[in-house]
Amino acid sequence: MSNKENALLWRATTLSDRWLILLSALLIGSLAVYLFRRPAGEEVIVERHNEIVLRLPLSRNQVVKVQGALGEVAVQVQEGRVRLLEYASPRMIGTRSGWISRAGAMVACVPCDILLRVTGENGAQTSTNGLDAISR
Amino acid sequence: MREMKSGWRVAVRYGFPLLMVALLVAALWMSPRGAQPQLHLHTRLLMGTLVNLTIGSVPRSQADQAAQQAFAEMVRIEEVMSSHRSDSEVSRINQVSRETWQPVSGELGLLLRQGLQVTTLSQGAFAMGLEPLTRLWGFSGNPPATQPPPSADLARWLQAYPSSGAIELRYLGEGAAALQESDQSTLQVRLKTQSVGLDLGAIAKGYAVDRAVAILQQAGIKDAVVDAGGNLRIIGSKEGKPWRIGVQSPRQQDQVVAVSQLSGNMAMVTSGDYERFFLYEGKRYHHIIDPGTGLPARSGLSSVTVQAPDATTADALSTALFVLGAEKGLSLLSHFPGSAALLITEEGKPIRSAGFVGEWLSVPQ
Repeated sequence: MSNKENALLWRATTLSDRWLILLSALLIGSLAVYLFRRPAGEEVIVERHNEIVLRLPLSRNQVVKVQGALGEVAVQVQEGRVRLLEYASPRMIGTRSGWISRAGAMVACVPCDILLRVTGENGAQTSTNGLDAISR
Repeated sequence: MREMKSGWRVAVRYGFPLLMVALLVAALWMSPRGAQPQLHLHTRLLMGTLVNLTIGSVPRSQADQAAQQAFAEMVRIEEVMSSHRSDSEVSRINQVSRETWQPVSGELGLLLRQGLQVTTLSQGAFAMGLEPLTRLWGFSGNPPATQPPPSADLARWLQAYPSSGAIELRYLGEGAAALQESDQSTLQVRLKTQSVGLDLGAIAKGYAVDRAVAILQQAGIKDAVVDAGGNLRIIGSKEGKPWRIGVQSPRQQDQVVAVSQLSGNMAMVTSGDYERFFLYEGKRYHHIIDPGTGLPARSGLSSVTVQAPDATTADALSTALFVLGAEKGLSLLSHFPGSAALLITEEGKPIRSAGFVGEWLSVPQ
């Protein structure tokens, strides 16, 4: 848009129009950010035998050990993510799950009877590849 | 010049708000939250696996309450049917001397009857009396076994295991047709020899899934996926669209090789040689045991996925088909209306029965 056209547009609008445009743009921008943002988790809940034994904020880096059915289980929180770090389990499937961070994501060590679940505003999730479940 | 100025004024007055509204609608329509149905996910560690309940189309409070009831039912079933719990009804039956008739609850009796039908039709490929053998192999041990049991022990078990009638049921009341879940005194079970012990590991999880579905339906849930470690059943749909269920690759655990789009009512259960196994001297030993040999089944298959109207049947059939192999297994399916299967050979080749709902992915995801 040329300077002439800009000047024309400025003269063609009233103060109320300009306020309306500014507020509308802010509203649309805020809504877009809110709607497109994927919910990050707020804290991780550590459950043993389906009972909550620990709540850890994802905002604080730390390694915490909890007692699992087969011994100590190390849970690592780092930069808003969490993972099962190490534990005594025959096949170590839980550690292969890697980091989780999104609300609703979870990782478990079944032999240890330990479940990590990231909480947040959206408790439901669809599994990877847009699948609702995997038959295995 | 005045006309041009007036045109701009009209455009700004009316066009800009309309544009804003259009953008807002587009943002809502395109956003992930706008596109995703509201699902409520509940998870528990039960029956030695991760159980997920995905519930749709109802308020969170209703989903929460229904999920708690469904989990409670699965806990109850585990308490009755687990052979790993010393206080379960199954363990009580296993502890008494053989060749004696023992009372059995109507619920367990009905499940045994259903399982024995599969045993008969599969000519013993599916068996519920293998507890002594599975204990020998130790796949569920703590820690799990890393090498096969001594061959002498296996030979002893094989010699003592009856070729037929390992588990017998009898009715003292009006007969099988009148049997109710609440009956406590009309049904008895007898295990033939010490080499026979109840192990419902190939059917009870499916039964628990079915019971969880029944509880959810009683609570007014119409759309849900009940997934007990990959043994699953769907009801309804995901806001009018089919649920998308993957079939795990037998050799690459982070990939799926097929996707089924299911709605209405359908169970889907997979048995594979990759679930519990160990490698010993270069050979894979997995947990699906062939009762005819006492060894891990070698039927040329690496996984079997069965679809059926209920998860109990699908669970039992997936094991039976795995043991029987492709030809006899597909023949067995004809006895079970509404059932279908996807078999994956050890070479990774898919074999589909008629009626299997799903798409084989040429490039696994």
